[in-house]
Amino acid sequence: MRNSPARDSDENIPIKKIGMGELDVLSGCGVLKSLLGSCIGLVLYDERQRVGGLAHIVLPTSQGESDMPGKYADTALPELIRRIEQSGGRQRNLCAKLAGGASMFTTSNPTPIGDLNQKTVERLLSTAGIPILGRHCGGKQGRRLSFDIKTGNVTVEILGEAAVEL
Amino acid sequence: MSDDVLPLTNLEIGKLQGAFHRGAFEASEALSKWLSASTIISIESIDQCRLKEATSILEVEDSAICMCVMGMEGTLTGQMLLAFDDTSGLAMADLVIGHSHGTAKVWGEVETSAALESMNIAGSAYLNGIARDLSARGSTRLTLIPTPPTFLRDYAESLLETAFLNQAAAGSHIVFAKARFEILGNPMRWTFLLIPDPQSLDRLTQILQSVQ
Repeated sequence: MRNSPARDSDENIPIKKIGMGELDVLSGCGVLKSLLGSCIGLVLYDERQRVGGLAHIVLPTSQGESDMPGKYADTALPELIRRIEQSGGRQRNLCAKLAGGASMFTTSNPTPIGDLNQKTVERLLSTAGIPILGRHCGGKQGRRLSFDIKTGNVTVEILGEAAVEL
Repeated sequence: MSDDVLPLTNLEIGKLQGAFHRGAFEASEALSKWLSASTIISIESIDQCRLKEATSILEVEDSAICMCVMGMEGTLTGQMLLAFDDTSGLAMADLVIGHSHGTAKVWGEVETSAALESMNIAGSAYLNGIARDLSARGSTRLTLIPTPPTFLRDYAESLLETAFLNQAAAGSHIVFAKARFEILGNPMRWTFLLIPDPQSLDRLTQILQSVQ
């Protein structure tokens, strides 16, 4: 069963938090939010139809796993496109914005997973012909991402710093 | 919890309880000496949850939180985290430094160092206790070696997401042990998490087969 999104009490706007490995799509109005570390928050938006989605991608490739499409870059992108089209959006109208991919913990891995996630998502978007309009990736700190469906605004916040609009 | 296959069975979790209680007991003794104050660390749960629920376990999701992160190496590998909010962490720093409660206001070099050393002492004793218990009750001699801790301050969920990443790569469930602290009879808002990596979960299952 899907959870109903919370609502902003003043304007009755649905607000949905997207957890690790999840994705969701809203149309018309609403806000999708995520807190990101090494994961990538992938926002896709069809401005004409006012339909958009957010995937909280954990790992670059699914290697055949399909139980949680939002978890992997190679399954999240097609699933997000499918859900957006189901809600009235068009792939040819889509633009992308990305945030996350930090390296928060010290690791011996020469290519941190955050970097791999970002590179894989960017490669897949390029193959799908979806332009990237903004990104806020890398570094060592977590990010709070908020995507407003009505305006298409994507806001990214790092702890202790002013929010940035992508 | 769903009907999906979980990483550990109830029997295995039951066998682990004893080891984690021993670890918590040894960490309590070590921290009591270090802080010169009676400290009780108690195991709240050894739990398994879905990936999407994992980052909510500290119940402070998008608030700022501090974490001392320590690696676990040896027979089992993974991460140990000591999580606390600013107020609780700075209270610990005051206790370590010998200042009266409320002296420390910000995370300077001395306060950070006090938190890291506390983690070093508690984490090392915790791992020693777990290794000693499982070695005594089973046929495998365990060695668990802590790495030097690092201090981070960030969104709770962002930190937990990174801590759970290795387990997330292997499956849709997360295994963790959660402990709570009490100093001089007062509950502290500190949480101790032990997060084994996926290879260690497989190894742990084998080790637990011989544990009485």
